[in-house]
Amino acid sequence: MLKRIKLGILSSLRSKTTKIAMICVLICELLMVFHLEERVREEKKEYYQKYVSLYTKFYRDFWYKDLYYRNAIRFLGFDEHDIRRMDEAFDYLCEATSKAAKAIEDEDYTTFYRENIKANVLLTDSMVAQDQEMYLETDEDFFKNIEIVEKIKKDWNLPYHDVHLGLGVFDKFWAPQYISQTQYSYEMLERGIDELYTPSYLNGNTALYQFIYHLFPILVLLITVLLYYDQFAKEKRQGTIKNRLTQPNKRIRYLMEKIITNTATMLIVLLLPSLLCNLFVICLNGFEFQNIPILAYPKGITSFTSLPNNLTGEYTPFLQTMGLTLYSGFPTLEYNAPHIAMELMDFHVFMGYVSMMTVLFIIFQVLLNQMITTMINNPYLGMIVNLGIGGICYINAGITNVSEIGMWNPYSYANPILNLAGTSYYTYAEGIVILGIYCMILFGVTTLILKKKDVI
Amino acid sequence: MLKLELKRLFKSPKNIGVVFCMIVFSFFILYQLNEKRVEYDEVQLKELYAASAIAKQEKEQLKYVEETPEVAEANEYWDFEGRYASYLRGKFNPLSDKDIFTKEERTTLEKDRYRHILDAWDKEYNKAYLELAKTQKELKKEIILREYLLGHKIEQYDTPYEVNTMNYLVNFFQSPNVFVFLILIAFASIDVITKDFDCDSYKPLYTMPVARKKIIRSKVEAVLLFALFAISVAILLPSVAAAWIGGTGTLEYPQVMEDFSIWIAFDYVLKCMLILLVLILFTISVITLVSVSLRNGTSAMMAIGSYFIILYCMSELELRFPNVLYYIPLFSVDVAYTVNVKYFSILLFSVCSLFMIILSIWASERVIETADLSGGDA
Repeated sequence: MLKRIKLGILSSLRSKTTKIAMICVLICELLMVFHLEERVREEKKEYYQKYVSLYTKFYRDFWYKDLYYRNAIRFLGFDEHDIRRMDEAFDYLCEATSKAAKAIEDEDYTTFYRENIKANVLLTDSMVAQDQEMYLETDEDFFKNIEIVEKIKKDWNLPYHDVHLGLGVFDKFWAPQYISQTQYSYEMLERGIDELYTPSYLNGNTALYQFIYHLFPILVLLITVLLYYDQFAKEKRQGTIKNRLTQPNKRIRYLMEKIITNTATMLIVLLLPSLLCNLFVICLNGFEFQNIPILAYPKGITSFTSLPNNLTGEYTPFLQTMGLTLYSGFPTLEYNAPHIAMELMDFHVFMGYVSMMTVLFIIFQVLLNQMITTMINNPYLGMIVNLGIGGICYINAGITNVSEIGMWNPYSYANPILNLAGTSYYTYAEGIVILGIYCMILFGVTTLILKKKDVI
Repeated sequence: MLKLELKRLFKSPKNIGVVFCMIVFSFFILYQLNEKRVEYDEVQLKELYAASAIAKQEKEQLKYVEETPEVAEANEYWDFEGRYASYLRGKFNPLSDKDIFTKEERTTLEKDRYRHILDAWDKEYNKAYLELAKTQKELKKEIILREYLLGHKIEQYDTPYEVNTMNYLVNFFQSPNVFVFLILIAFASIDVITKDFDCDSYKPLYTMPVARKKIIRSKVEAVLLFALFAISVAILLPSVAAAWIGGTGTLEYPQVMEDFSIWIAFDYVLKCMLILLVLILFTISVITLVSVSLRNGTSAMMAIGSYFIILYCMSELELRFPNVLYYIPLFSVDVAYTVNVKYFSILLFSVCSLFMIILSIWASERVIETADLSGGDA
């Protein structure tokens, strides 16, 4: 059997179709590389601009220009002492953020992370103060994360600011932002990484991550269908299926061989161009092994409890208006952590989990294709059915989909990064279990069809 | 030859399915247009209530401070929102039997409202733009559109999604379905050349006393005619249905482009049709070249599939310049930023298509002579 699989893989790799598929993947990846190179520059610039405008300008202006300063005295009963304390806090915040903004401009990211911690610790303090006064809906995760920030504060001897700076804008919705920024910056400093990892950042470490994040879901669907839409029809046309199925072996063995061969070929088709592309990126940007931290939802690896995040529901239009397109594990200045339960995870551990689910999804896609081509004799009709099913499920598996029924849509797990990072409503554990169930069902149905049907 | 090829194309169940799919997709756009029209009123009303509520809240807050130009401006803003919301309440209240404003007054009021929000964009107290979910560019476009309507005495549609022929055609060319149409045409025409190699019928075909270039040319012509027929049917049938539902619409109704220039609907549709035809020609020329070079159905399918995958990835990654898709007004007028280079692109794609077809004919002369008997990869 192993010899047959080996021969099958070699013959697939020799065929013109597989070579074209590999070239297609390579072109797509190279396009992605050039696109991301451009975007990283824009993101860093945007980071700087946002820092300047959001912290230094917006909060300050909000306080002084927006009449709340006077309203606080008049309606909230603030005395001069309170106002002075708030002034001091704003001065501290502005100083830290100005330095951080300058550090981004100078590409001195160690200073940036240090100043970022100072600014975000102050904002976290403000959150805690507000929580004491206004009884926000805090939970276990909130206090656990606050403890981490407290520890950082103790290590660094940072002052405690007992003020709540907000009058409306600093609510619980912003809490994950401050806490994760603090934790992330602290981790980067601890690990001695002097680089700003924006969501589109591309180097030898992150090339595979970017490939899975941007291209994998759509490529795996289309290339599997195009590579294998006529696998049975071709064998029938060439007459090889007659020889194979009349041999004294069970049909299930033939099916197993096909599945393993196709999965292995798909992996090679996707991974070989990725490897080439990775080498190209390494030549372009150099390689340095960096075990960077990444925001993830580790509870989702073992839990089926979906994570309600602020990318869905009532805040979505607001976020979209503010320019958010998609959440990524690498923090951006705004909205980097959709939920307070996010934790930092080692990038390589994260990629290990992601790779497992990626392979499982490829197997699922191959099995689905196998079942349809076995069921439908006409290859073109089979292709349309396959693309139709895949397309409809893919379109319905949007990032903002939070319906219970969506849990059973296999394409909700087509981008494992979203599941593990906690962006998607559906957890990583759900993905593994549901894809596993689908794979077993598809294998069973295909075996049954092949047993009953006279494919010869 | 042409007649035979056409007969073969029109008889194939696969191609009949393709034409059927195209018609279904076109009707789906009409259906979507109608759905959007119904939704639009509700959404607009909700947005305006939210905006007016915010304006009212701001006004309440400013009541306690001394009179300043900012306060006066906020009051004025509230007046706009309040009046407009009253107008919509009048419009949507089933008990009300008359509109508060005429259509022209409504256009003026909307123009003023958008102008007001645009002017107050940077001011902190004006949070209304967040609720409107419109960018500055979109607001500017709305203003330009209304100015044109008032200047040319054209009656504004109740919603941007009115169901009539002209509006349907404009929406048709802005939908992603144009891309789907290209894929369907490619799917229908992919095996016109490769089928002969797959069935081994190419030997008797190419040994006939007919010039090879004539065979290939007739195949390309047949595919082109088939594509034209399919597109015409797919556009005409829903257009007739739209005319039956809501009339033909205004030919001079303006469309604001990315560079804020105005194209009238008729002009816009004509140009889009021309671009679509050139793109079809381009796609068919790519298919011909690939089929003649590969001489195998599966490989040709993979190659054409890869071509579309790469185009799609380019769109996803927002790479515009080398992407054919951006030369047609896909998704929205916003994306058709290449409007200024369209005439150049039409010329470029036409020349490229013709060059590729000539190359395919030339290649057929060379490649088929040396074709091995297996006809491609095993």
